[in-house]
Amino acid sequence: MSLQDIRSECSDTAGLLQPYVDGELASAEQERVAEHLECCRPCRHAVSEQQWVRSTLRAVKRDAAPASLRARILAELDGVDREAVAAIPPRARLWSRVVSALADAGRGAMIMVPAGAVAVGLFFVAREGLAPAQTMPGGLGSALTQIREEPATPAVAAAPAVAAAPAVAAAPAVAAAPAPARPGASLPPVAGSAPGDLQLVRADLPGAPGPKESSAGLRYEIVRGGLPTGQHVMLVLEGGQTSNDFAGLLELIDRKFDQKPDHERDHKFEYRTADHQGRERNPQPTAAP
Amino acid sequence: MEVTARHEFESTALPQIDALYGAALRLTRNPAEADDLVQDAFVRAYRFWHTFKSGTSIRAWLFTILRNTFINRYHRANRTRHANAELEAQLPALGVEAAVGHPTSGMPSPEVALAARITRERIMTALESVPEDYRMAVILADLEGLAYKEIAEIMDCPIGTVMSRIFRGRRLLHKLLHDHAVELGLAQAPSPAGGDAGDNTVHIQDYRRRGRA
Repeated sequence: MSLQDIRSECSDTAGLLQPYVDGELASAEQERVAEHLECCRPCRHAVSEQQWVRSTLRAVKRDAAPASLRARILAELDGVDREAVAAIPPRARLWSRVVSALADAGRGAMIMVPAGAVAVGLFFVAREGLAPAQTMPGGLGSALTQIREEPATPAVAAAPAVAAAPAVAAAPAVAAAPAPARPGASLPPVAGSAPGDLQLVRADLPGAPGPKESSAGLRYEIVRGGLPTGQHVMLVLEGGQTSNDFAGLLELIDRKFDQKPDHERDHKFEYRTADHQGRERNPQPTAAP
Repeated sequence: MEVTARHEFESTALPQIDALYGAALRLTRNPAEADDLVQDAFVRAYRFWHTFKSGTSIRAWLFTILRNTFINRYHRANRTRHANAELEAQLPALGVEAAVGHPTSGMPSPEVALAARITRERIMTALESVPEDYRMAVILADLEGLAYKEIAEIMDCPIGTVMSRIFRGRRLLHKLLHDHAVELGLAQAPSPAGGDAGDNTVHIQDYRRRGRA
């Protein structure tokens, strides 16, 4: 008896054996399979093998989580509760395009985003008083101030921003004294047209003085179908490195995101994978849900 | 987070801690890592608590987060390749016999008795040696008793894939545990020839087929 024999003789019920074992068939089908098993030894074997493992595993008592783990989790939840409330208003088709492109960037990809996008994000954070702009040292503080006053004005001190998943990869750029932002139930969607694609889970804003430390990071988690994916996008803005034309950047982003069909978007949105950090060069294609 | 959300989370999600921990132990094969994984998953679940739709399965929701956390934490790029390599290393050793079943061990009753004599530790060790996707499917189906549909959602794959993963996972487990039982003298090694029942079966089947034709 071989697999080929089973397939040729039992093709009618072959696909039903597994759901039969797991009780996932309607009663009529269940009976049909039972009848077949009466007279088909190979199928009966396959079924009994499956049933045996199933009942063996079901009889196994599950490990109880240690009490210390429960305590640890509760303490972590307290920490989340304590985090300051950050409300980031939805806005800007521009930003929503950035968001959807980031979400499209797929798993494990590290991408570069034009600094303008990040500046927009930081602008919101600053405006909401999460970290008042005047407390920011060096170029970043003034950059934010300028953005606030005149969003389309050039000469903002903003370096290329790095968006990375995981966030750890971009950690060096995060300021020494993070001011944790706080996500949660009250946080509105970041993106106007793609609500819930990204969820802010952390914001690190510069606290330490010094030109080299004037950087900020926003950490988002990509959400698909209302579920956190565990994939993060980190936006890091480093201040005081180069001057970029903010208006030019906005224009650039606009052009790159402008209403392109999906299959062109990767091409048009010329994010670069951050291979300078030793990661993969090309973002993996996003798995279709 | 609001007090009510915290309360809801503690009364709805947190009671699943044992279920998540059990799965995390089998996934990570290491208690300390299982602790970290479960903690990460719960903190993430708490941050995203507002996305949980009440009335849907809390376990499926939490297991999805656990699985995503696990994959992101411990794997990243090489996961699929690794699982396939592991799988290929194991399947040829099983051969066709394992797929068909052992001619002498077809009946469930003696095997159920046998199961009682295989230690829990041995079962868990065997489970941990099964390739990851199969292991996850078997954990969710057999340790957690979830339905195919829920497993499909958690593992983000079609139900047919769920079934084949469970099937293959159990087949490997059967092989591993049965071999162990044979080593211990708890079960007989499969005999190559079929017994009387087998001959009768073939006969009846042929008879019916002829009758139909």
